[in-house]
Amino acid sequence: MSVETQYFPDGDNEKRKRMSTGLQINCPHSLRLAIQSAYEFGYHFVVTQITHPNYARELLKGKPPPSIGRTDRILQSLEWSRYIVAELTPTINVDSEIDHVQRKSKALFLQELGFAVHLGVPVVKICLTKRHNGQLGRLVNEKLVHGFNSSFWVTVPMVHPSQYSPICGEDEKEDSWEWWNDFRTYCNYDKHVGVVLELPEVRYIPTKSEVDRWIGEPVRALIVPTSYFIMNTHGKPVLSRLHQELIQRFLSIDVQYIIKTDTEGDLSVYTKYLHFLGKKLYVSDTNLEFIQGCEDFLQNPLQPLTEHLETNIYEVFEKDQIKYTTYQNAIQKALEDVPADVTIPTIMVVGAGRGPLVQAALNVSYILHRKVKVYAVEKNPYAINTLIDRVKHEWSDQVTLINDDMRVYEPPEKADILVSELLGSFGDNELSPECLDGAQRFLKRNGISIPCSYTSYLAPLQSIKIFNEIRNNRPADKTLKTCYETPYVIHLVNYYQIAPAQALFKFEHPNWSDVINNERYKKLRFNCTQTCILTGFVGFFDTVLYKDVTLSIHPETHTHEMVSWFPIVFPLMEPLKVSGGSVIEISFWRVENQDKVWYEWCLESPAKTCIMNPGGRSYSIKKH
Amino acid sequence: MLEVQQNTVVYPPNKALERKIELSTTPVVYDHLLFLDFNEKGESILGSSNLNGTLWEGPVLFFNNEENLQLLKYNRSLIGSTVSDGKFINDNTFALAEDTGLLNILSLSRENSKVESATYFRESDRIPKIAVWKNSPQVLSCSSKSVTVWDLNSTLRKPLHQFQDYHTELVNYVDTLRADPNIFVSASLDRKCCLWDTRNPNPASVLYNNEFCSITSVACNQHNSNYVVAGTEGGDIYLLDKREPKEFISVASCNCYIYRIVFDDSNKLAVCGDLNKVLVFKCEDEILNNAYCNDKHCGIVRGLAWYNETLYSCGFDKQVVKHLL
Repeated sequence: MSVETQYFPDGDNEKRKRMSTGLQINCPHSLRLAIQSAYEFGYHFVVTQITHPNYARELLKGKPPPSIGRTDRILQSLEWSRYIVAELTPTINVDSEIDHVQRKSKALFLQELGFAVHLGVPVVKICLTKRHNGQLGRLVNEKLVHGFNSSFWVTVPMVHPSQYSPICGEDEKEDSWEWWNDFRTYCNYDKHVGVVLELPEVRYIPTKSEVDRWIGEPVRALIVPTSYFIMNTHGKPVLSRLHQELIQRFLSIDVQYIIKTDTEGDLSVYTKYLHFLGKKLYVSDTNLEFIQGCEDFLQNPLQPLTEHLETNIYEVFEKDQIKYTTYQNAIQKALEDVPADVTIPTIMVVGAGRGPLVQAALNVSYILHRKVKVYAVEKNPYAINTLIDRVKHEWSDQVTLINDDMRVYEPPEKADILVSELLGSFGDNELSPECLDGAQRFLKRNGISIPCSYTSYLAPLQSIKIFNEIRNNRPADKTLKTCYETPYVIHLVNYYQIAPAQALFKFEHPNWSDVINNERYKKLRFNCTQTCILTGFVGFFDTVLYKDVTLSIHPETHTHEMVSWFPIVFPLMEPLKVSGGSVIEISFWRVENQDKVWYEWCLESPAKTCIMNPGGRSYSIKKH
Repeated sequence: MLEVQQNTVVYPPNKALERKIELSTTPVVYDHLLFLDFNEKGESILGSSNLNGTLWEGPVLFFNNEENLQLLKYNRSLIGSTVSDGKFINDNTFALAEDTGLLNILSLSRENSKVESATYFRESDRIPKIAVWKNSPQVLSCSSKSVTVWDLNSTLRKPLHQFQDYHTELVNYVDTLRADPNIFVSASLDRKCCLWDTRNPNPASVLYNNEFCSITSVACNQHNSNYVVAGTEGGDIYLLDKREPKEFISVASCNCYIYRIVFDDSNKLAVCGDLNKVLVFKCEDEILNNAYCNDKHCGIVRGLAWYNETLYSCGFDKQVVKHLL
C-alpha cells in the first residue's frame, strides 16, 4: 500500500495491469482509523484533508491561532509518506482579484503547504477552480525551484462542466486542458507537477482526440465516483462499457485511481472491480512483454557502422519473429522471380549479424526446392564467430562467410538477391542508403535488393514526459542544447500525436543513377485540430521489402506485433503552445559530408525557430 | 476528548503516541461552534467541532430552552464527525450535515432524552450547508458541484432531485423559500447565484453573476419572495430582485468572507463572516440599511438563528450570544 507505487508486470503467470487505487475520505474523525479501513478494503492510499476545511483562521491580523491540524504523531513518518495524499482546502483563493482575499489566501496556502511538507506527505493535491491561476502557479513554482520533494497533483475535470451546464452560455465555456496547460507552463513543465482528472459522466465523455491529448499529459490519477457504477446481473457494481473504454485508454500510462464514494458498507468492491479491469482490459501480447519496462525511456540510436553490436542487442533483434518471417516471404517472392536459367541463384546477406536472414534464405531454398548459394557479409568479428559455428553445425557449408565491410568487399561473383536489415527507426538513419549504395556493386544489374525502398515519416508530437526526460537526464559532459539537438529512439507511451504522419524522405535500391545523392530537404505542413503543446516531432518509417511484402512502424500501417523498432523523436528546445486550427510547419534536412550524415530541423510555423543541430554538431551518424 | 490518562507516568518518555482514537463518550464542547437552530418550541441545537485538534469530532448539543443554550448547558447530545450545518425539520426532527458527506436525520424522542438516527443520506463530498422548508419532509443540501433535494420518506436513500454540474464549481450555500417546497437558491465558487424552481423543465436560472468573487452565501427574503440576498468572499452583500436578474439593486460591504446570512420572518437580515461581528440589515425600500452591529464575540462568528424577534449567534470563541434588537 503506497501512493507512489511503481508498476511492473507480476511475477506470476497472470497477465494483468496492476491497478493502484486510493480512497477519498473526507474529514475522518480519526486519520489512523481511516487508513486502517481503506487498507482493509484493499486501497493503497487515502486522499484526505490535512487541515480542516471549516477551520477559518486569520493569519495576517492579530494573533494567529498556533494550531494547524492533527498532531503529526498520529501516524509514523513512513505512514505519512506512503499513504496520504494531502488535499489542500479548495476554497483558498490565492488568485482572487480582491487584495485582502488574495493576501489572506496566500498566507493560508503557504501554511497548509508548509504543514504538508512538515508531515512529509508524498503528494499535495490542489484544485484549479478558475481560468487564471498565475498566483497559484507562482507559489507552486517557487516551491519547486527550491527543491520541493513531494509531487503536486493538480485536479481538473476531464471535461469542464461549463461545456454542458444548462446555466452556462456559449461565451462561458471553458476547456479544463487550457487551465491545466497554463498552470504547468507557469511551473516550467516540472516533472513534479501532474494532473488528476475527474472522470466525466458517460454522456459527457469527450471525443477521441480530446482523450488522446490527455494521454499526452502527465496524468497521475483518475477520480472515479462510485455513483458511476451500475449493477450487473449478479448484483455487482460495474462500470459502463464507455467508462471501461475510457479507462482502457489510460491503462498504458500508469495512472492511479481515486474512488470517491457516496455509499457505505463494503467499499472493497470498487477496488476489486478496478483490479478486475486491470486484468480484463489488459492487452496480452507475448511480444509486448519483453519491451515492458522501457516505456518513454530515451535510447540513443545505434551507430552500427562504427560500433560492433553486442550479444544482447542481437538477441533482442532476433526475438522479433514477425520481422524475420516477413523477410523470408520477401526472399521467397524474390527467388521465385529470379529467372529459371540462373541455375544456382546467389543470395548475399549483407550485415548478416548472427545469421537470422541467412537462415531465412536457406529456408526459402528448401521450401522452393531450389538450390542457392549464400554469402554472409559481416564486419563484426564477434558475430562472425557465431556464424562460423552455424555454418559448421547448421548450414552444412552452404554459406560463404565474408568478414569485411560491405562497402569495400570485392566479391568473386555478383548476386541475384541482396538482402540487408540496416534500417533504423527513421529508415535511413543507420545509413542504409550509404551502405547499400556501396554494396550494390556486387548486385547483378537485374538483381533484387531486399529492401527495395523505404520512406521516413514525421508527425508533430506533444509529450511533456519526453521533454522532461531529456531535460532531467543530461549527461555531465553534454549541454542541454546538445541533448535537445539529439534524436532519441523511444517506446512512446505518454504522448499525443498532434496530426497524422506525413512522408518525408524516400530511398530506393538498387540505385543505378550516375550520381547518387542521398542528401534530402523537405518542408511538411500539418494541421493542428485542437490546441496543444508541441514538444517535438516523432519519426517512423515503412519499407517495401519486395513487391507487396512490407514492414512498417507508421501508426496507421504498423506491422502487427512487430517490436523491432520504436519511433524516433526529434525534440524542440522549448514546448510551444499551438492553437487549434493553426498550421505546424517544419523544415527537415538530411545532410552529409565525407565523414558523417546528420539531420537538421527547424520549425517554420506557428513560430520560427533557429535551425537545430547545424553541421551535425550535437548528433550525427559516422560513416567510418 | 480525554486525550490520555493524565498524571500518570509514561515510560519510556519517548514512547510513541498510543492515543485512543474512538469518538468521545461524553460530549466535549469545543471552541469552534458552527451553527445553531431553533424549533418552534424554543428548543435549539448547537453544532460544535474540533477543527484544529487530532480527533476531528463534532458533538451536536440539544438545549431545552434559550437560557440553557446561552450557558451551554445541554440536555441531550450526539457525538459524530465534524459538522457544518444543522436545521430543524419539525419540532422533533433535525437534519445534520457532516463533513464526511453524511446527511443525518435525527429525531428527538419525547419518551427518553436520546437523539436517535431516523434516517440518513450520503454525498460523496463534504456538505457545507443545508436548508429546509416549512412543513415539508424535504431537505436541501449542497455538496461539490451539485444541489440535492432529499425526501425523508424515501427508503431508497436516493435523492428526490439532484442537479449536478449546473454550477461549475463548489456550491457553497443553499437556502429555501420556506413556504414553497419547489423554490430555493444556491451560491457557488463559480461566482453565480441561482434561483431554482423544480417544477420548471429548466429548473435553474442565474440570478446574479459576480465578476470577481465567489458567492459564499445566499438567503431568500421569506417576507417578500422577490428578494434574495447574496454574500461574497470579498465581503459584499448584494440585494437581488428576481424580477430583475443579473443586476443587484443594493450593496453593503463588510470587508470579510461572508459565511452565513439569515433572514427573520420580516425584513431583517443577520450577517456573519470572518469577523467577530454580527450585523443586521433592514431590507427596506430596495436598500440594505444597517440596523445593528455587535462585537461581543471574541472569535469569528459562524452560526446565526432567529427565534421570534431575537437573534442568536455562535462562533469560534465557544460562545452563544443573544442579540436584542
